[in-house]
Amino acid sequence: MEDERRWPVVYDEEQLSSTILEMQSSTDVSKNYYQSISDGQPRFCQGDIVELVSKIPVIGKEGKAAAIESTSNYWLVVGNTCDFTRDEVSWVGISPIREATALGEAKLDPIRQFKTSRLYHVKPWSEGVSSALVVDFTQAVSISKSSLINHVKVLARLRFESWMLLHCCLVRYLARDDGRNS
Amino acid sequence: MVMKMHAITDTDFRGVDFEEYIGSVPTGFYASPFEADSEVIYYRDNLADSSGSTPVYNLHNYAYLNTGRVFFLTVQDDELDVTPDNFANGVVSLHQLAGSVLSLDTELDRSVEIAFQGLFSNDTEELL
Repeated sequence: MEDERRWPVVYDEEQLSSTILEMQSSTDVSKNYYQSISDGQPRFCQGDIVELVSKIPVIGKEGKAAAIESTSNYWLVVGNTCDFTRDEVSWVGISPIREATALGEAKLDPIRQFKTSRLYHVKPWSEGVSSALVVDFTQAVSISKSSLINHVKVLARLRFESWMLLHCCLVRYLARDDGRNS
Repeated sequence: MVMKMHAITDTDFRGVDFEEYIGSVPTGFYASPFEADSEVIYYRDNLADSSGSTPVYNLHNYAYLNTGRVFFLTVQDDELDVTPDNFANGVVSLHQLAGSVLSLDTELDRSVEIAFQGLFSNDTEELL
């Protein structure tokens, strides 16, 4: 039963859900999640998996700038692809990819099925990469574009269908119904 | 009570484009129950007849589930009576079903989130 106290989403929630399911079920997503990166493509795109050795910068418990030691040096680009080509945009968003094997299969399963709103499953992009990599959208941080260009290596790039799946998950996360009255 | 959804399966026509057989729906399919938590792996709505325009017997929706392709008739836990009236009166909005499967399960979401945060609860913050 829909909770009428919650302020509703402003998009077609059913359409978004069905698109997530459709994309998740598509062969292109289940078998060919990533695409090869060619010279003609942008240097960075939304959804890219990048490697960057860095702690996770946050404003911490003390209300001051702090850094959290990460168990992974992989990050997901969540900023919009267009921003990379716009001179007026200096910063883009990236989210740390965390290793979550210890979560256990029962908890990992709904994440892998993209059923969780804040947690997004990052499929392994090559052999030897953990199948339990998770992005917590709540931990997005800003990185300067020049830092990306000079210090970051792109490891994997989403296909269109995979990007659409990520895109839907981002919309779902950013534009959930509002429960301030719940 | 465990809610079971009754479905009309298309075993008879498996592998054949449904639209070609839309006129046979009331008699060409048989009914069988399946669990409400069957996984929807694909669905389509606004199914039209072979002319591409008129929905038949309000049978607007069909879905592919992990248990096979099904067409929805009723969510009532009664005996299934396959008649055009039942199609008209009892057809389930596939969006309803899809919603039950696809919408975020708040409790699930919360329990997974808590477990995930628990993994990193001992992370130390180093002031910069």
